[in-house]
Amino acid sequence: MGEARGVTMEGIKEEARVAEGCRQFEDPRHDCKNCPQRVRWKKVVYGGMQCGYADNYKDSSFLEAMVMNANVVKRDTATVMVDSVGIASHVSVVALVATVWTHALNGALPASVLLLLDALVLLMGFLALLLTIKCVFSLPFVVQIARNFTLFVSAIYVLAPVFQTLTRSISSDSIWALTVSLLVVHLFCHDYTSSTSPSTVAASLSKDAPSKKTSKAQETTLLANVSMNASIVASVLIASRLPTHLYVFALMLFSLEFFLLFPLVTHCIRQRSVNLHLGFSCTLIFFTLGLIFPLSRLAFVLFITVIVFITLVCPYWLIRIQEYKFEINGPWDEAKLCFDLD
Amino acid sequence: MVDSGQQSYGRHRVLMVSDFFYPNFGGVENHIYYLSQCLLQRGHKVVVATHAYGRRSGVRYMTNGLKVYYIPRLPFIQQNVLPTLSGSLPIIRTILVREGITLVHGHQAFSTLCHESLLHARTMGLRVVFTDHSLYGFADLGSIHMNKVLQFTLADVHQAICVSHTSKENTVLRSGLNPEKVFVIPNAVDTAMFRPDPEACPSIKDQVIIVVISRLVYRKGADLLVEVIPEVCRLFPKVRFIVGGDGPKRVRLEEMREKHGLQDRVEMLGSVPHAEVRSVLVRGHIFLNSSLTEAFCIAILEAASCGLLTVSTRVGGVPEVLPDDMIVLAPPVPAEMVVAIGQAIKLLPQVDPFSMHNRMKNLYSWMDVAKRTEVVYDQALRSEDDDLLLRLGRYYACGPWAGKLFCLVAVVNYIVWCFLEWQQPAKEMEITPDLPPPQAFVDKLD
Repeated sequence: MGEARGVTMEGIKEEARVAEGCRQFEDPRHDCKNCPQRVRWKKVVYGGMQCGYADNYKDSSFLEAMVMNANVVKRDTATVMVDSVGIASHVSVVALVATVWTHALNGALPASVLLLLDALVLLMGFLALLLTIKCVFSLPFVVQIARNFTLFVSAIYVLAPVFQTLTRSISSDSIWALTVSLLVVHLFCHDYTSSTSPSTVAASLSKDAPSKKTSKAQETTLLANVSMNASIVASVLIASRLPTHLYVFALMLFSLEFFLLFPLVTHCIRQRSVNLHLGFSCTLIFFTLGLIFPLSRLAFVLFITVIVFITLVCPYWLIRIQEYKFEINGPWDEAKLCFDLD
Repeated sequence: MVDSGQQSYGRHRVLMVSDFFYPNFGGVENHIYYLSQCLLQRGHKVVVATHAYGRRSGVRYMTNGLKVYYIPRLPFIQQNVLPTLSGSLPIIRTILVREGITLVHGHQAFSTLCHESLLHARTMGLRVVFTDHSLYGFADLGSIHMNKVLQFTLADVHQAICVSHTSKENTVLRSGLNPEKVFVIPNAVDTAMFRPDPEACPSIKDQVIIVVISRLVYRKGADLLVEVIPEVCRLFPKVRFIVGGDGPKRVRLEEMREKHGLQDRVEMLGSVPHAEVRSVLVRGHIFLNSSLTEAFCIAILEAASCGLLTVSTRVGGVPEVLPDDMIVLAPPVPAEMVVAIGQAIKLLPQVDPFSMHNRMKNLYSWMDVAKRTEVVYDQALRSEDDDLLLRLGRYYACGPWAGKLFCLVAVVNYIVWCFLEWQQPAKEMEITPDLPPPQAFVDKLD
């Protein structure tokens, strides 16, 4: 794509003549009278001051190459709102778990009932996976899942006594405060990309150079890990306030089912169909609302506010502030490499 | 030669200020040195101020009595002094008063010393000119901060100079300055220093030698080189590469050399001192510049002056630097670069290093740069001097938050200046005697 032309004698002569004309000239205003005719201004810096044009001359081509908002992704309200439902559903999952925690801590939920709930949730989750997952189930796959699951459950069971006495020397107030902050951290760092539409994610990633893409992906996984760990620590802290080993085991299992396995289920549902996901999320939100209502009116109102804020106010807000988007690109930008740096 | 100083507003007394000066090496350092030399020869008084480099602290004199103040302040990051706003006012004020400076010329947007000195000069009611040597984006946090600082300085600058038209567009966008106030004056090259030497390189019938001299960092496109060099070596068996320069990406280049077994065809020189750049350049036929961003690129001028055909990425101000038949441009994509190098190799037989050198003599000279800078100085001197209130108004218009902050900084600086004036009035300060202007000089630069 080079633009080199052969060396033309004409070109050189012209250049030398123009350069000579300007160089001889001593008047600082540079109204070039030596020039044969008024030459067209060129966007070049060689050959001294251009004849008839001062150095601060502003050509009509000034800022011609500037491009505004070239990489901006156009969003429409409907998509953003549908995507926000994914976030709302995760918030309601956290609220649901917190409600169950409160009931357990109040002693309103015996360990046996909690265990029953665990089994029920597990069964339903497995069924949902079975119905929505796209790959076929083979015997080794099922065996592997069963083995992993047994290991997971027995590990929690073995560790339950340790969890129970873990925070005995810490006051309950500290535990509540820490749990709440951990849950907030969990909510802020959670990887919501699996529950939003893949097109938005692809669009937001594709505009970046490959080198940036990898760093972005790394950042996401780091945050997702922080989020997951925060939720596990919160579960451990709450479980450590319970009276018996079995109770601790039941509650840990319940929390982990929701924090670790549930995102997988929502992801599979989402992959299957958007409408199914919407229906599922709404059911979940209303179910949580129903659970919170008898617990506390304040929490109920707060939860409704949060859900409305996430699903209605935020999308509207995002669309509104799109018009303030002001992105400038031009020849002065650092070129981006079009290949992967290894 | 007729001194145009007679026509203009008399002899200027200029302080060049930047964090970047010799012994450091680069485009800005070169620009300041050559511009100062030419201005001295044209009868102006020029003093340079920079920060201390290691044990080089205090006053030094260079060729033609160019006085350099190495202000004893420690560099903090990338050769910049720690920003202290009014902290540098006492020493800068002393220099300005004692040298009888009338105009301060700051260089480079990320030099803190330059920004501070320009603010002090404005506080003291002197004329200021600013030269921007680099390009900045708008997207990342560093750039946003830098652009805000630049906006602050440029809000109160009389004239600004950029080294290319692209750089001017960039500066105008970043600072919101009126384009009429921004002049485009390029760098130049000391053609007497960069002469071709046909004996140093083999005939193009036997070998084609491609020279690369740059810091081996991401911004200079070292990663592009890693992709381009093996492909060129594969396609053109006669080609050899000489790579001069050092940096974090050198390891990648050496890896590439090992991987493709090109040890005998790619010579890595390590860092090349500026004094030896010419001796490396003249060994080659083609100069390859792979920068990803570049406001001007002096290296291209040096290569062209040595008679080399240049192949470069089409970025920033590079397309403005040379006529189309002296340079082959390509987008910063490995495949396109390889095609461009092929094209350059095909063009080589038509290239005569000496005619190229002579053309460069016509196209660029530091004396021309100095004359054009003089015009800018004259214009700055003609503009009326504003009082503090008018200046504050301009700062205030810079933004809802930044505007108030800028005003605060300007007011504090003004108060500190008033205190200094009371503590040691400028009238009572000892004035340094001027050196006689350089005697009948050999105008080798013109």
